[in-house]
Amino acid sequence: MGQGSSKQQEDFLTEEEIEDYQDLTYFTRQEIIVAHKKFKALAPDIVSENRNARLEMSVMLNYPELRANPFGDRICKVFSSLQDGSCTFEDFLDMMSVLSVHAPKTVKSEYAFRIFDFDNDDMIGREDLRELINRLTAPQRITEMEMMQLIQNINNESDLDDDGMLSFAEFEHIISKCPDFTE
Amino acid sequence: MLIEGASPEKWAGLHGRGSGVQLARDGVPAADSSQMRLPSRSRPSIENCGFARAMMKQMPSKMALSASGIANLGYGRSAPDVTMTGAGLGTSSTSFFRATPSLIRYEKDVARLAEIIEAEVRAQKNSMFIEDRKITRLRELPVSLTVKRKVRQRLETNLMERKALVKQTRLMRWSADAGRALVLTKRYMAEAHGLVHIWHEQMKTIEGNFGQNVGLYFRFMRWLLIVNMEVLLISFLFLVVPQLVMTIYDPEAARRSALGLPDPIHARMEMENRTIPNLHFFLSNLLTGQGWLYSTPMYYGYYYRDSIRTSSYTHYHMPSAYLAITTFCITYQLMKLATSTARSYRKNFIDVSTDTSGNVANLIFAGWDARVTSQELAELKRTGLYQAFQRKLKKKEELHAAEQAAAAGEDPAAAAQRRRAQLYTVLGRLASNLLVVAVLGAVAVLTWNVMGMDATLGPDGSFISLLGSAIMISASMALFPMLFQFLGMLENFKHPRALMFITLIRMVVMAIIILGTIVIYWVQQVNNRSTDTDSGARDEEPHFDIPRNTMFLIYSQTLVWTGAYFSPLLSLVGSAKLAIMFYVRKWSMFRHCTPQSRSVRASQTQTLFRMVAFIVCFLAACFTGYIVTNVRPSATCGPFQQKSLPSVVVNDTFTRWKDEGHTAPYTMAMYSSRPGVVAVWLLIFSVVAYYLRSLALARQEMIVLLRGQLVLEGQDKVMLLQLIDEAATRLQGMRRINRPGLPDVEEEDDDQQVLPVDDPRAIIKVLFEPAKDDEPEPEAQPPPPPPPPPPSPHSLSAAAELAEARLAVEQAGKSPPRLSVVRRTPFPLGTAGTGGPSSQIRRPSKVTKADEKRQAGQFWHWFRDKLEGSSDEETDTDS
Repeated sequence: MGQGSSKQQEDFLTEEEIEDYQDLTYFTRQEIIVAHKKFKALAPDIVSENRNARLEMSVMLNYPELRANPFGDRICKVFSSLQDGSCTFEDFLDMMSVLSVHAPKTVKSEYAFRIFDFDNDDMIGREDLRELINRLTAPQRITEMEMMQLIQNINNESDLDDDGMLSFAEFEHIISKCPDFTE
Repeated sequence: MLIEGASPEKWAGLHGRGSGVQLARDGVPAADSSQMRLPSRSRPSIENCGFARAMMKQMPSKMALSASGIANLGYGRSAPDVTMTGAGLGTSSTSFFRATPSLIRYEKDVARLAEIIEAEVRAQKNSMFIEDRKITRLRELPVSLTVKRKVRQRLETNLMERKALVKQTRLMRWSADAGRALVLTKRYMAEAHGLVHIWHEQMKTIEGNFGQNVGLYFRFMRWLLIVNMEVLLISFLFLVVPQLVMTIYDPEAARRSALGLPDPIHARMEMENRTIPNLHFFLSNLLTGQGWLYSTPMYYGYYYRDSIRTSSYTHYHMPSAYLAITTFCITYQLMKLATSTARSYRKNFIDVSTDTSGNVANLIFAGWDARVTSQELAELKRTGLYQAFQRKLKKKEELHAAEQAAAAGEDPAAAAQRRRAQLYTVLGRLASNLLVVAVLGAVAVLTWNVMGMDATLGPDGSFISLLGSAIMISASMALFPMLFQFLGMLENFKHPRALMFITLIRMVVMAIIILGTIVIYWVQQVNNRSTDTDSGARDEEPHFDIPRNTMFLIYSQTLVWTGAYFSPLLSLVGSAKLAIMFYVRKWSMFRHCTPQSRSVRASQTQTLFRMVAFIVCFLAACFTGYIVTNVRPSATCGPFQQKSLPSVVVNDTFTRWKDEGHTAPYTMAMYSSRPGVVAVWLLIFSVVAYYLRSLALARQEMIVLLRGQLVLEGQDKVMLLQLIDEAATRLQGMRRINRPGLPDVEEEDDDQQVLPVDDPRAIIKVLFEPAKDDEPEPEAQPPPPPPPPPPSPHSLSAAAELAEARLAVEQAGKSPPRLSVVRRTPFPLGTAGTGGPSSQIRRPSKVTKADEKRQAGQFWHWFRDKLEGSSDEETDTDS
């Protein structure tokens, strides 16, 4: 097995690269190899030609977890090093690492904040919340009235400084109180 | 109080950083600017005023302080930039990079990140852990992998440079090596641990298709399996292997021990009289757990009664080993369960002690389950969330209406009706609880009778009668939960969670009663025969019923725990069963069940299950302890056949050691079992427990206090920002009136500002004294000795300083009016144009050069003095 697998690894990742990734992500060797396989499965032709190929966001969204996730495109954008949703293997690995169970909540909430901050203004404002709720309930539409109430509720609960939007500190505070927060 | 705990550097951020952020957002890199202006388009209301927003973000709060270290160190998302000191105010804006993380490719930023990490790591005393710490920090950086790698390279180069500078001692080199070794060990441990995590892919498909809730059930199953395997490994190594070796080495002695025959010398006579049980293999043996299985390591009876000689000097004392291993295994499982339950409890109950279940925010931010992969479940989740939102709103409305009704005084008819409804509910619940108690009693009696029937039929009873008790128990385990669920439905609980918990508790009580009956029956009969019942409920429902399935899981695991003493390899059966169950459940779930859209606080439910498991495991351990110390072992088989009690083995061991000349353990054991010593131990434990308890209580109180403080702080922040905006408006208006044609750019030599920022009391006057409408115009004022100061074009800077000053005053122990008080005397907004207050606090003419300098740019120093020094350390006098 040792012989075969190491040979196989050479096709994708060198030993140093794996060690490097082990230091920089929350993954073990096995998980890194699995992640690479999954990345390759997204676009076998491109990746086998160029290991560091950049995959378009539309391709990335074929990944099952991202496809089902209402924030799939946001996740891609946040982790993409070009900000346009296209990902290299490293971006993908980064994404998987943060989304994995090993990553601590602080790191997760940092990225979750970016994902939910649709207009990139470093605050989760009313428009962000609106977009967020619309995405969560996608086929159904929440009425304008309900939407206003929901947003009002959120701000009542968590906007400590009453500025109508959530800063990261406020966001992190809420998240630290959510036992079921998995993203 | 307001900034208690905030380091002085943090507040440096206030001074000038605000504009940096603002500018950065406009696309212009923020320059070193403590001079700033209000962008002309900003309107000074809280929401629109860019400055206010920037300020707000820069303001540290308790929450920001608790954020991750890196965030605090200035590279995080929102925490103020503490690496900058007052002198070198921000050249790069954190928010600039945060908004566009991909732009972090400049060496400078990489260097800075590296610096931050190094600074933090250096605080670590033990150099061995530096490497490990570095990697942890590196992983936590919220930047892309490429940047992380650069930072790491940078760290390494820095390290090399430092190494070149400082001569390395051997100790340093050694600790660096050890640090790297530690990292590598951790990595290998993680890998080894990863191997244990079997069924990874299976878990992913389950979670992807059925959500986190169901996933947690399977995770619990996997956890139990892993524990079982560990126990299996231990008993296999220390019990089965020696026994097998012995059986091969000396089959005759082993057989005699297993059959309870005396040693060969005086046994010949009796041998004829004894009936040797039929030990041929039948398939039914596997179901009933009898016959052939007696002659395998599955059973207690198989184990040898005496020492196994391994060489002429050493021997393996089987009874001791048996006792030690079985008790160790149950204790080990209990401990493991206790730690995992405690961890899960802390994570899911204590850390989130404020109840957020009713929160909309919770629903929105944590509503999505990131592990979902199937479109079907995604659709369901969305619908579920949609409904949840609507329910939530409706509930809020009802609550609101109820409050209003309560405030308005209740209608007597409605109140009577409500009371009647309540009465019905209470009566109904009482009735159903009585019914449950009756059912439980009936189950106990039934079990007892079935056990009795079993016993009267004797070991020669038919196959069916042997299975009788097992069938009966399995049937009641399958049927009664349904009854309980039905009853629960009738009871009209408001929350589905309450319904689930109450049903679960009833089921647990039933399981305990059944097991308890069996156990008591056995103990009464002093019949050392083990059972191996297998619950075989396999009916499925449209939704995967987690509580019931978990219940079965715990029940079957309890059987394993209870029986472990009699059958050390029962964990093998347990593992096999879990493994089979995993696949069967998964298969049947995928085949028959539809995923559920609603989730009942998955993690907390899971903690509850673990607690239940812990309790039954504890009971099983108690049972084992009772058997070991109080129940006479079988005289005809098993390792303890020559002993009056299994626990006698311990005494024997100590006595033997004494006889062999090792008196120390014996004396110690004798000494420590004296009543006086035991009492002292108990006393010490009680004192420790008491101490910890009071500590916990004190902390609880502290938390309440801090929470209150946080709320106050939030209020203060809002108030402060309002004040600042109002002050800014006023100053701006003042400028407009004084110098209508003054161009914005004219800002040089503005240091002779109208506000003596180094005099807090004066500032407070400006801030808190309502401006008077009839104040004379500035022209009417007596002209001050210096040339009339041009009103501030960078009023914001002044405003920021005001804010700081106010805080500083509070910090220094002066007692300015609390903001809540101020709130009641708001600024008259219409008076912005008068500029009156500025005349009152115009700078005195006798200011020195030094003062001017300080005022110009180094407000910071004064501020730091304020923070560090006592309240008397005011350097300036009142004008």
